[in-house]
Amino acid sequence: MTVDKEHRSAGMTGRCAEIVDADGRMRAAWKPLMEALAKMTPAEYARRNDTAQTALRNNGVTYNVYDRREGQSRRWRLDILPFVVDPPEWALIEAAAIQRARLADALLSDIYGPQQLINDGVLPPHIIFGHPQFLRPLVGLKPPGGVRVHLYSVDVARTTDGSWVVLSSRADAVSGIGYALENRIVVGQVFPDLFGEMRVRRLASFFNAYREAVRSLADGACGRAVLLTPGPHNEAYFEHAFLAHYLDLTLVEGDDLAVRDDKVFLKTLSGFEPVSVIFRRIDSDFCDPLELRADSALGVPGLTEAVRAGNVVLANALGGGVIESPALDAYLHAASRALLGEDLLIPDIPTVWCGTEWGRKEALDRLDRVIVRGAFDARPIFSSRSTAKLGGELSAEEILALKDRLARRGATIVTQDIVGLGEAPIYRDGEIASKPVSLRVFVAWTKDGYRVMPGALARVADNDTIRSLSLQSGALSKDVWVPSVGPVDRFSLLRPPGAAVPIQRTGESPPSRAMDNLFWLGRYGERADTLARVLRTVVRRLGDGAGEGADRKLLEFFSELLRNLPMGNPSRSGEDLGAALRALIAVRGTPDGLPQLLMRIRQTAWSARDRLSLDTWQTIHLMTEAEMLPSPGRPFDSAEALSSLDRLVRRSAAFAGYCAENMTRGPNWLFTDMGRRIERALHLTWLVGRIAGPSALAEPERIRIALDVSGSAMTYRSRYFDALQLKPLLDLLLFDESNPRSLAFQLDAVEKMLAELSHLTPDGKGAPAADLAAATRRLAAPADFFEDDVPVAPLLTQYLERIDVGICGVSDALTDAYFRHAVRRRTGGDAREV
Amino acid sequence: MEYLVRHRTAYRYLFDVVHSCHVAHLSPRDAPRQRVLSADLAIVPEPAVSVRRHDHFGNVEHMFTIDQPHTVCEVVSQSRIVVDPSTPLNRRADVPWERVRAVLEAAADGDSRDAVPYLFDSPLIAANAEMAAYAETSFTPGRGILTAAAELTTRIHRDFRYDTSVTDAYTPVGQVFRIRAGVCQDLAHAAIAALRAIGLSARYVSGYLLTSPPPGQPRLVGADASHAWFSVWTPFCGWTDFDPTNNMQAGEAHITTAWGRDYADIAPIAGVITGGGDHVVEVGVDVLPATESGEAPG
Repeated sequence: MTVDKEHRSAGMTGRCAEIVDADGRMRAAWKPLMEALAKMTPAEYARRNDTAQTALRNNGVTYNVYDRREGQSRRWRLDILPFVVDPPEWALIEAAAIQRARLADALLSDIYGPQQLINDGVLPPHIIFGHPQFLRPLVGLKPPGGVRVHLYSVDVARTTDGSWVVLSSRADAVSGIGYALENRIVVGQVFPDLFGEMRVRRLASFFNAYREAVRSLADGACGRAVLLTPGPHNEAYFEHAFLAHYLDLTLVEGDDLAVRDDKVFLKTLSGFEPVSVIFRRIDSDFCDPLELRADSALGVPGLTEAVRAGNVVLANALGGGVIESPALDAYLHAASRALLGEDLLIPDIPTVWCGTEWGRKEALDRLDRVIVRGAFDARPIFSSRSTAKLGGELSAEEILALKDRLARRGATIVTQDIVGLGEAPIYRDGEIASKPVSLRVFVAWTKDGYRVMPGALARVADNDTIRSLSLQSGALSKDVWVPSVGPVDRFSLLRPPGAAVPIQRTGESPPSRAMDNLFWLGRYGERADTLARVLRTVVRRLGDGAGEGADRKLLEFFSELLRNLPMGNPSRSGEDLGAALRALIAVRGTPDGLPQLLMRIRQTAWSARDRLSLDTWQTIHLMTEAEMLPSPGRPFDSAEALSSLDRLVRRSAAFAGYCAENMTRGPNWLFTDMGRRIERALHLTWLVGRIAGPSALAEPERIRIALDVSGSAMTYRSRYFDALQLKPLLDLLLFDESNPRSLAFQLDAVEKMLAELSHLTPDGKGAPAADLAAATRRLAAPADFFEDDVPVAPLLTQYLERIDVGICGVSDALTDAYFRHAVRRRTGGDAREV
Repeated sequence: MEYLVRHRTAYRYLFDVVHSCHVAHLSPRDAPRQRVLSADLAIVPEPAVSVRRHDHFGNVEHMFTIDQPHTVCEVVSQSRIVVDPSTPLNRRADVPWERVRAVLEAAADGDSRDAVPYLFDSPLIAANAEMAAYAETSFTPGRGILTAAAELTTRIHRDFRYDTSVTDAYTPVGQVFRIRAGVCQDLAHAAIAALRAIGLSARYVSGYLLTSPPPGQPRLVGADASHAWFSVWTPFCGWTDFDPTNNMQAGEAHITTAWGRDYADIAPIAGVITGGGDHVVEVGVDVLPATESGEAPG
């Protein structure tokens, strides 16, 4: 790869490329990387890139986008070419980031405390009191240890004149650090030699210092530390699950927590457990529906009062959003002078607040050189709901509206200068191109004061317009390498050094909600498996000729079968068999059809992401990816459908196999497997009912179908050869404890697992489910509903019905005992003022 | 005039509520024309925790938690209040409204600074250009702010239909403007939105009206439940209250409970329950002149 030449051809010199300095010489820190790249063939680079992209895909690294309902998670985009920062440059960024974090903490202490800056006229009251994130119940509330900002991020970029500028900052629910870590792991793996050779600074000790410092604030309280996420629908859920795992925190949603007597508890399998530290990823205003936003379904009612009582540490403390404000950017320098007695080391983008006569004039005079945005709109510029507009692109009508708004409510508007950003090299289609870049730098509060993560999340615009810099609109990301000047710190969180770890056989009691998700993961997994097997049997028998030439009785039997599936009743009566098959296999909207089931599996797995090993997650990913099923757009093709269904059955077996072989026999496995067994037991009673029930189709024909669907054909033949009779079939499917696809086997397994579960939860709440399971197992013992080796229909029906009721009862009892969180709802909406 | 107020809220649940937590703004506050002689809040069943404090706006706020299973929760607020008549609109305060806007922008003294929080959007009130245009029909250049506010009150009374079936407690003001209808709370929100849209400070006031009018006077709308109106800020005489539902300046008949940026800041009672299933709520308000009866109304 001829790097140097390509640089020039990309015209990087004129735009202050990050690689070269003002004199056009390559910066020293980039040299080893660029030399290594020059020696690398495009094929070699492409191979490394493929490895990285595959790793990201298989790890399920996504960034959800709120706006797109369909297929809401999107792959995380990484350009593997690292972004290198010279140690001297880094020293400046580091010092500036620490200064900003200190300033953020001091600002919040003042805003929620004495409000000296407002009283002294340093800050206009408007930009604080008018900010929707100025949360009044927090005024006067001092957090434990007095620390408000435990994790802080600042986006910096080089401008075209070579100096650095701050684009924005985050002090509330800071995001991106998990993605930075994931980028590092992946890029470190594809450039291992270079990584060592360049003495790139490691990240682990930073994370450790952050975690330990926050935990120490709990001051000896014995509760556990949790990471509070808005849930699987949040854009950065991947990061939450990933960080919880990495920092050894329990991942929880608001519903998992409850406040009692001003203390916070986690609802676990074995009851309420105290929580003393919350790493918070929910925006402050959503954290407490009682005192903050009443319409929040994400928070924990009473959390503010628990903080007030000093019973829980929130990191970050509530209220940080008020300083994530474009309007404040215009006054940060003055605030820094007043609070810290320091000039800002790196300035903000020139910002004008339009709440003054001068500001309004300035805004209108320089309209074509600025971005106009809401004074309190902290959303990334040009992300989907951002208010930002380019001044130069406003229509005459929009300019009139802007003038009106400036005159009426100027205080709600700011303008910010458009700055040209320095560019970084990116790799695309075998070539090096050069695109605008910004760095998100992270600062954590540690016992030794604020400390910067020696690395960052670089974001590169996809094209040259400034619109593309927002993370949400899909910018590329990069790992950031800071070469070490001293020895490289090799601390790792993944393998704690030295000290022996005490042997433990169980972990902490898991949140009930996570177990609920795993239970349904098991159920949906099995449901998809059965449906795929049924459909495969039907498609196989019919070939293409569903309709012509095929046996009428067979067709009728299949139609009836599909009309009475155990997972729902998806096909409408009167619909022909071909249409029903197509609906179940390929059409996304079919209730309980395969596409929908696969989506549900994915969603439940995603919700329990932190509890699944990478391998398990990957098998689920393979089983549920969109390409698994034939496209609904094309006409139905039975050969294609058959191969899809075959593949699905195989991958579903791989998922089941991973669970069986790789999951520790703890609660995670217990609930997943119980879901699977309960679902399979229900499917077996259904299958037996359909096969043994009255039908015009010849009995041996029906038995063959049953053996196909249940996957027991081999066993049956090895025992009975070609003698296709009901009695041996029912023995194999219902009573044979050695057949892993028999009813008896499922019920034995459920009974055993419930017994184990009751050891984990000694308070006896699992007893009703265990009792019911035992009773159901007794009912399912070989029963005599045969007369001359032929089952008596009413007796068999009754038998199956009773088993069904028993199994459903077990599932309900389990739900009651372990998952039923009494639902929380708000009241008061009906007591309005008239 | 001295009043006795009894405000009863009762929740009835289908199933046991195992835990509930509420925040109430039910005890009247002191105000420039109003003195609270006594205020008492009774809660059944007995709360495990009950805190009385002042919120950020200076209102009396109760926060209580009930941790025993219950199917009925009853909150009764009883108070005794003296309200002075309002003075006629002060001509000295009726300054050109643009001057008030400039004073609020400068926020150079404590009084104007205290009015700043009421300039901006709040949970249920997002002002826009349409609302500004609505306001500017009354707020013509150079017009006195109080004269214009009184006219705005009259226009809202005329243009917005009083209808108890089209909105709920958390209806955003944008929708109220679209349908041009609602209850007292919505009408107050509409006026506040219009005022803020042109850069003036306006706040939301909740309170009560006399249940039965003095002989010969009509019964006012909103007397059966808690009532709401709005208040506009001027440099020399502070806050002046207008009631768009009854098209009048709020006076001796209006008893103030609390004020805030909008309903969401000071809902009479709001909370979160665990369990309970469906519920019904009954609200009853009695406001009597203390001169009629020395006893609290039953």
